[in-house]
Amino acid sequence: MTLLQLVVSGVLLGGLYALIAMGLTLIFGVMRLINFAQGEFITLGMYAAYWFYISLGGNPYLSMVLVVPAALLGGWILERTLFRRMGSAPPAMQMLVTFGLSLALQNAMLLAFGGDYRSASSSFAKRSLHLGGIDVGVGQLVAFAASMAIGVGLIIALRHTRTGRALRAVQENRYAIQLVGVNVERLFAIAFAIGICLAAVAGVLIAPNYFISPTVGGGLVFTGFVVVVLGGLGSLGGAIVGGMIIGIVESLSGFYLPGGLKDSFSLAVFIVVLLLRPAGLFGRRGAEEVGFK
Amino acid sequence: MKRMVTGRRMAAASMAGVMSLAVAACGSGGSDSSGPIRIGALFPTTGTLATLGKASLDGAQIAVDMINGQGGVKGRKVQLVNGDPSSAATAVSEATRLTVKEHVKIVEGTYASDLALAASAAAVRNGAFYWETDAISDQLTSRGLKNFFQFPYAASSNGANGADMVKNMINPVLGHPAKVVVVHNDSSYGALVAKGAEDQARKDGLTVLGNYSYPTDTNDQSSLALRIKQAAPEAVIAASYQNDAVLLLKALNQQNVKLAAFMGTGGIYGLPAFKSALGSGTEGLFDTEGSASVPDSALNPDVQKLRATFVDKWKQSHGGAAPTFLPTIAFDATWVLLQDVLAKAKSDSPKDLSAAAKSVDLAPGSTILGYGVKFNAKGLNERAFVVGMQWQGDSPVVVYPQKYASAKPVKIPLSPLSKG
Repeated sequence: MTLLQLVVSGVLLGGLYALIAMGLTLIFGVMRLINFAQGEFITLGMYAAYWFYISLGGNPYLSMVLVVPAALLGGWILERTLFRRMGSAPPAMQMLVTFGLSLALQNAMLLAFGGDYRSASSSFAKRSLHLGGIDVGVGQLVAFAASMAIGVGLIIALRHTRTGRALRAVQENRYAIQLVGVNVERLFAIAFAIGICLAAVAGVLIAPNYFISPTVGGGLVFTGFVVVVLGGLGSLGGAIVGGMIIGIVESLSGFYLPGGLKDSFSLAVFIVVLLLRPAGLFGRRGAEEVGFK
Repeated sequence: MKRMVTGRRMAAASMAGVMSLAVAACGSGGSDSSGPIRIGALFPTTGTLATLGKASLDGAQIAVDMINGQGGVKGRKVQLVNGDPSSAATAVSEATRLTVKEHVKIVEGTYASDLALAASAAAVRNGAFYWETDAISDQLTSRGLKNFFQFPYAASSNGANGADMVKNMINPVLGHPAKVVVVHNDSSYGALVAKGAEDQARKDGLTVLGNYSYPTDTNDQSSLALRIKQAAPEAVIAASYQNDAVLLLKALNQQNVKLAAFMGTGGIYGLPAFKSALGSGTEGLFDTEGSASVPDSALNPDVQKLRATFVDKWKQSHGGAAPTFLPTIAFDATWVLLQDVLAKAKSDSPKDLSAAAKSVDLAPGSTILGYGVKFNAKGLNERAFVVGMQWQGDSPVVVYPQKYASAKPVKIPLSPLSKG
């Protein structure tokens, strides 16, 4: 029963990692941009949920109604104003811009909200279900279910819609698609907006189970990067499977190994996978190239 | 011949250079006995530690302002020269800047133990006297650092107090020695507190079921919560920082872990942020650390007045909120440094300050936290102490030991325990 509980906890944690990784991997896959500011957009989503919960007295999950359009618009504007200008800059320069954006957002949040911890822990999300000897937090379950629904929905959209197919084509060969008359810049803006939106949505879903502070997103997104590379850069399916693997490994190693080895064991699994499959579980060789050549 | 002349010229030029440097050094030196006494204040005021670092600095500044209002020390005004040790690396560079460039010979600080370890080593190496106002790592005084004094208690005594609280408050309710699990993050602070807790728990006759560590920067504590659940203790003693503490309590709640008591040991466990992060989930949780609210009866009458003045001044400058422990201890330590060390030292040289610090002998109740002051051979204040607090409503109240208690403990057991 303990093993089952650990696996369930790991899967739920993996869902959270997958959600964080999906935004990262989408932006990387299409734009070849490593967005170090992704964590801060998660944090902004968390603050939005908190504000909705405290000021409006609403269920934190309902803040999605505002967060989704705001994040899409914000992502679109950021891409048009900041990253489009960086298009021809070397990859390292682009990364520095995202790093600078991360610092600016983090400190702006410190200034605006202070360093104090906050909680959007609604009584609904705090509840714990006891199912056949297994304890599952309702908040965790909601975040997991939403994460899977979003993941599957995105995969379907990428396969069966015109824009989705174009986004996949950019990942395949961003030069060829320009030759057939597709507006690549527009696709970049779409990918960036969706990526930022995924981060903010992840923030809203995590908020009721977590605590909120200006620096919280940075810690979460570090594991997100590991998941992205493990699953294969640019692969949404890889992000989901990678998230599950890291979640389950962390859960099991946290229980069976001395606590200090918890992180090292999941990173050891990560290294072994990369040794066997250098492009990640679902990545293709060359997918790791950063920036435009 | 030409070579000789060149040699003489070079010697003369070198001599002139050395002399001008010496004159310059005298001009900007710190030993000007008529100007203000300049004290380096190393508290992190930017970065993740900024909130509490700034609070500590504000507490110290109030002490300086009050002393200056009374005419200063030996007729000289006191001036804090601020440094910002936002990380261990900047702690070294800021301590070096203050002691070498600013010629400061007295440094106080530092709030966080990792910063204190780095800053004090650098400052003392450059010949300064270091007065630690609020960091508590045992390592600070176990290094044998000369001219270093630690005003607060050592971290391990925090853990030990957690075990004593289980023995004296939980055992009587249970009717038998409690079974405890100690958990700690993998920082040196966490390990020291946990060792103090485990050693004292064994001395107190408690059954120690395990001592589990976990990564400080963990994203999830559900496997640790499950480990605790499997061990089935009656009490948990935890040494954590901030994120890890909040996640641990959330995970224990999600896994329905039943406990008679949860003892936090400093860190976030006694701070308003803990309440903000957990809401009603803090009710009944214990915390062991220094407290800013020991009762007036534990203080000398003149110290009661001093505390009231400090609290008033703090409230005036901080929107009416009462000071928490950190600014209070920073005030207290700075006050003792100015009144009982600096004012009584033969000179403000590090050697004379050390001699004065070693001769300080204040009875319990002589400072606004209720501490006495007497440094042991390692420079640790043996008369600083921790108390046991419990979250009751919106704030933690002192419940242990009885001498300092302002309320009786409630909610023991914390959650209904199964019989067995």
